[in-house]
Amino acid sequence: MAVTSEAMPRAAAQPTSSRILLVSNPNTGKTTLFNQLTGLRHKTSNFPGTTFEVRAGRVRIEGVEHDVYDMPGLYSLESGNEEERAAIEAINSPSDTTHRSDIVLLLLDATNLTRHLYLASQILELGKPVVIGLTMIDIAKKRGYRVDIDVLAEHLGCPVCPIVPRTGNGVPELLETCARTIDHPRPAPRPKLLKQTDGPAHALRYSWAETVNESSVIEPEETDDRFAQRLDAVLTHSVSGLLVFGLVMFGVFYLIFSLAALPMDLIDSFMGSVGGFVGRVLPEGPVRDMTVDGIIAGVGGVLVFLPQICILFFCISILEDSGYLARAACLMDRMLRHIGLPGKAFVPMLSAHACAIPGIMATRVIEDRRDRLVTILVLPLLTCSARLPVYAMLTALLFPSDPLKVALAFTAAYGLGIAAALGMAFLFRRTMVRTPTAPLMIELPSYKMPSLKTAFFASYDRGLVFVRKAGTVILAISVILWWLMSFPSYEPDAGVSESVASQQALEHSYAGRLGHGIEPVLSPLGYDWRIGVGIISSFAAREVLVSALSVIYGAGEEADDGSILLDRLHAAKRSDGTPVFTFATSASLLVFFVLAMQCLPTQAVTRRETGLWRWAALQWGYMTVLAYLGGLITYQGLSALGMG
Amino acid sequence: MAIVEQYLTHSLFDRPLRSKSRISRVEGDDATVLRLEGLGLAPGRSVHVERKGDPFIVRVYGCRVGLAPALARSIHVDDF
Repeated sequence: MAVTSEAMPRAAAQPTSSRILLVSNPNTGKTTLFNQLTGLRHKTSNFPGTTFEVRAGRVRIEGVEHDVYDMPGLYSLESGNEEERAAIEAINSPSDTTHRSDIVLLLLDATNLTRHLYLASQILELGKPVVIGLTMIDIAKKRGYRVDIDVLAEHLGCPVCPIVPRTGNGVPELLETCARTIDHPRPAPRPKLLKQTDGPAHALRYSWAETVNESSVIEPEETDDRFAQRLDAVLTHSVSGLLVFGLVMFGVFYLIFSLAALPMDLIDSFMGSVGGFVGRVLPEGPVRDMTVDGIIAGVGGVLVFLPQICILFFCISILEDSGYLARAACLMDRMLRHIGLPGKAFVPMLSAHACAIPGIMATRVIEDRRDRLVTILVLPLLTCSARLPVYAMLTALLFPSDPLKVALAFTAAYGLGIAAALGMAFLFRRTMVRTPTAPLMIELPSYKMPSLKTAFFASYDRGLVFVRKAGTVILAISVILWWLMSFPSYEPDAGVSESVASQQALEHSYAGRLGHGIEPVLSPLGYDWRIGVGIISSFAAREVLVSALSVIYGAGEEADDGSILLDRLHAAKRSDGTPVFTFATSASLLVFFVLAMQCLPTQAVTRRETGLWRWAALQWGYMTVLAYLGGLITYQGLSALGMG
Repeated sequence: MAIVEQYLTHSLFDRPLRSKSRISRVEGDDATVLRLEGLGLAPGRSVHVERKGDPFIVRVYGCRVGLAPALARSIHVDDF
């Protein structure tokens, strides 16, 4: 953002914008403040010059635009997994040449000042200009804390601004103070602690923190927080805790599926209209086909899941904000630690039920690197939204006109995914990643009314990330797959209907030939070559199976009326005259789709989050083997039992 | 007998409900110890036991922290 002046060609270009690094402990209102400062003008991207992602936005202070970065929550500048260390390095590093300076906007919780001052002591030693935002000032007042801002500012050697991120109180003054500091940046003075006696650093820091706290804050009488105590007891208790957990999970999923239905239909029909419009506008030929059937269908296929993902992250934000999530993590830790997963893994696991991509990104909250790796490896086994259309089709095939059994089959499919994930985590922990799980230690924040505004922002952020990460890869693959399924082009026999023409074209395409090619491998699972084509095409995106089978079994491309497709599938016959979709085959296909890794964007995100292609490849490899074995056992088992 | 008891340290896990203790020593690997330090659970600091169970809930500097029982066992305290 260099600003050059024509009138003074000799003067060096002087950047005017600065970088504001928002730093604090977790649960301090940092994210809320970031939202207040940047509104919708932010995005998730790499911190410049690094590989870790932050939310980056712009804030305008007195006519100048500055970059604000929402750094990951930190308790200390010493500990940390890779992500935290990358963040610490970024905080430490000098400002780049495109910016005037870096200032650190450090948030401290007024109700918990001593502990927060531990991090402050480290930040103040960095020699960077620091502005302190004192948050939760409203809650502090209510509880009887009285903070002498001037004394505190004197001890810390930098300006202190009381703010309430939730309401925006104090933010204008904060911005003004930041502007002053940016105009006249001066490094914050080092706290006078290390000049004292020798002793471990942590002891010196906490002694200093206690001294500062004592002189700046009048704390109320220490009373027990009865409410929090009782609620904690209920929420972490084996029986009542699990019950509440079950209810909350049920509530979240119910919300997702009920509220998402309408927007999903709207997106579907909108994309259909766009496709229709473009189809009419473009001249006939491969460009039109690629645009409509490749690009638009591909984009539509991704966007349709956006409502579910947004609603899920809205709910997660609410649960986190309220304080419930930390307690649920404690409960889950009790169970998951025996398998080798930390309790905090349950949030990514919950997210993965909408889509594994945001789920894998959510594993950043897991502190231990190896805990995180195992979680990432098993996450795609959990049933994501994209598998649901496939489940719907297959369970209807298995149990026509029997909604109760369909519901049970659905539940069993979900359960299989969860069981497989837990089982593989256990296996990984016993073989490849043999270190013990990091023990649970988690701050239990005060219970509070969750903010809808924060939840909307969270939902918006996650939605954008999903569209960018999933969308770009799936779009590319959709085009490739469209090509595989359309070429080489085939002249249909004269006088056949459109659906038969499509069927014949697909048979003779590369995808069709591939299907024939892998048939020997798939026949022990009960699949014929046409199902093989379906499986191949669904490696772009799982739900493509439905439309691929629809075309290849001659139900045409417009499989809107599910009954046409189901009739076709029921009637489909193999070359020897026996039906294709026997009970065993359908069940085997269902098991296959529960376990198979059919989402290339997931591999890309795994690679990114773990840093190595090796883990992405392992993920794909073991899941493919698992899916094959699952399908094989199901088919052979059911056939042997006479249910073929 | 009295001298031996004076130097006897307990783990946080053994301390009674609502007790206040001073941490003497923390066992564990570097990563765990550093994380505990960041939360206020470091030698020389006071900690209150709020709930004995799984999670083991303590209060340090006014903030509630949930710990795995095994971790509570590895935090050694002096008697107050």
